[in-house]
Amino acid sequence: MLEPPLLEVDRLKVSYRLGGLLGSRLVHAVNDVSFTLRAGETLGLVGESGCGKTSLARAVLGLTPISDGAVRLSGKDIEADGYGALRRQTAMIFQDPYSALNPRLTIGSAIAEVLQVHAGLARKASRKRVAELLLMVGLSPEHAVRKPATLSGGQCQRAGIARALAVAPRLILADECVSALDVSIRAQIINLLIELRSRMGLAMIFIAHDLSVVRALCDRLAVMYLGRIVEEGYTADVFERPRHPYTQALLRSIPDLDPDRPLPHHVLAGEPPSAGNLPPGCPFHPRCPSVMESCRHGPPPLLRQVGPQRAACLLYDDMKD
Amino acid sequence: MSTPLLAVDNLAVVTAENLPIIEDVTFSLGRGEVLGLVGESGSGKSMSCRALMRLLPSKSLQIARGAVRFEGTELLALNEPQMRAIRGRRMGMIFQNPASHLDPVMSIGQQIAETLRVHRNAGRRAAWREAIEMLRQVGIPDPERRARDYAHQFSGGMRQRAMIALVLACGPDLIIADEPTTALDVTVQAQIIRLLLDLRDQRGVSIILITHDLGLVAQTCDTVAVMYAGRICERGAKRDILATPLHPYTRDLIACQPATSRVGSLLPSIPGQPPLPTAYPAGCRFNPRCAKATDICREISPTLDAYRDTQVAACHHAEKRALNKLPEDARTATA
Repeated sequence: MLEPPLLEVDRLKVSYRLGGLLGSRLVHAVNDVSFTLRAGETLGLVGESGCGKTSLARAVLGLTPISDGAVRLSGKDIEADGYGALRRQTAMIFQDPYSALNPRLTIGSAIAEVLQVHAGLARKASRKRVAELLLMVGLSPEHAVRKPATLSGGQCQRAGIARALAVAPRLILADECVSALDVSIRAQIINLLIELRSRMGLAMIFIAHDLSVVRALCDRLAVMYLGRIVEEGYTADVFERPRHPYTQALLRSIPDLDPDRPLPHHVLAGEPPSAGNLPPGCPFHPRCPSVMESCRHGPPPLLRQVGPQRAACLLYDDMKD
Repeated sequence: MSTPLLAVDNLAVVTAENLPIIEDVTFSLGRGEVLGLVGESGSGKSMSCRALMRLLPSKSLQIARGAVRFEGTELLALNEPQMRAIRGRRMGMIFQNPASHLDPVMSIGQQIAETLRVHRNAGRRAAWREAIEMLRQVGIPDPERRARDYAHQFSGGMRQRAMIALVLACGPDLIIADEPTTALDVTVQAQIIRLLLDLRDQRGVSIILITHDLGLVAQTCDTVAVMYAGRICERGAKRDILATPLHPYTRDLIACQPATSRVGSLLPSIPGQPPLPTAYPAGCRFNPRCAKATDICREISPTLDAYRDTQVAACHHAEKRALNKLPEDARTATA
């Protein structure tokens, strides 16, 4: 039998209850999302704010209750498994490294704490391991005695990565982990992630709103809009020929360094509606430049094979499988 | 060229301990021109703009020397009421986070109407009507109704539009936009930039666009000034700066834009990090990170000299590069 994939997300739904006692209603932040991730693979999760990418990540880590569907790690349902294996095999890297690290602990003790709790290392052994981890992320062992406030943004993010690596994870979730950093530092951190991934065989879910960052790092790409994946495929395929009109708009809005390619006159109109107020039919239809009558009603379109990737759009509905 | 709208000359800001925050900041801006002020956080781009508006964020900072001429008027010689009149009516500023610059307990329409009444002595009714017209111009749908909404009822992009309407209400000649799209979603970013450029075309306002995004500069600006560690290291027409950068920092910055990346390959990056004002290195401030640094770079601070028609750079080795005219130099990166 085939070995199960490292991570399997199966028709996942994450819902929140909004409003008071009487007028409360359910908001589906993540709606019917499925994907798999093999060991060593990197998936880029892209979308605008409020599209559910962070809710999805939190549900995968067991930090937000799953409303429906399942998340399986190496074939085992994380809820039924009591989260134990999950905690030992996954780690998260956050957007703001300063608020992700305890400001009163030195970098060394923040990492040692993880080692002592998760790996059961003794104090002395953990000190040696902290030094190794700091070197691995491009800091020096002397940084162990520093507190987060005395480090620059890039150094602090490196410390955050070192702490994530301390559990020896098989899967890392990076939530917008470079968007707060300067351009020259951003490239350093992405390169570090590329290196660590190939050296340690890490699988990664890399959440970003910036498609250009994703291109260098991710094998596969999933574009989310209002809680659903609207396009999914290998990064090269999606970049070369995006199928969903939303993906096309996202790619068009990456500023190009070519001064002869001026800002496009027709950019996507409007903003995503809130997940609590979804339009009928395809959730993207009010902003879609290629909208058809059939897009305005009925259930949202499902992902289907379009060329090498999959897209959820009625434009491709008459294509035969 | 006629007198520029704004000419900043050798502007310097120091702390109470006489640490230089910005130094030798020199640039000018014509009517209807868009200048991109580019650099990493802490490079002094926002500080330069706050200094020229005389809005330094702390009492311990002061302008040590320099000149700021706005339509020929020396701003640094004005008293505070005179300055306030220019600041409100002639210059406007848009920020990264509009939510913290809009009044949360006053409706959007009221805020714009109030600005119109203060700065243009408009009557109550006329001001409200014009506020709605402003909101329509910046692309707020259904402005009659939305004018009664409060900032928290607006989305991020709409708030930035409201902020722009608020600034426009005074009919400024100069808009300073400090990272106006950084906090917005990518599809909304393009809308806001489009709006700013349309305003330039229709009203002839000049814009200083503060950004760290060279891609944005490529698409919108006429001229570019690149700042590093409190100084301008290169300035010139956008096309020249992007095609044939003369300063190694500009070149590296262009190289490490992720837009130029390929799937699965390492990105070019600049080693190290920008220095803090307390620890500026001797000589050229970029020398510890520069792949091309020589002894002179570690000892003598380079001056900002002209090398081509439009291009000035502060690098000891810029002349060689300017003579060689190696456009491919821009693509080779220090890995």
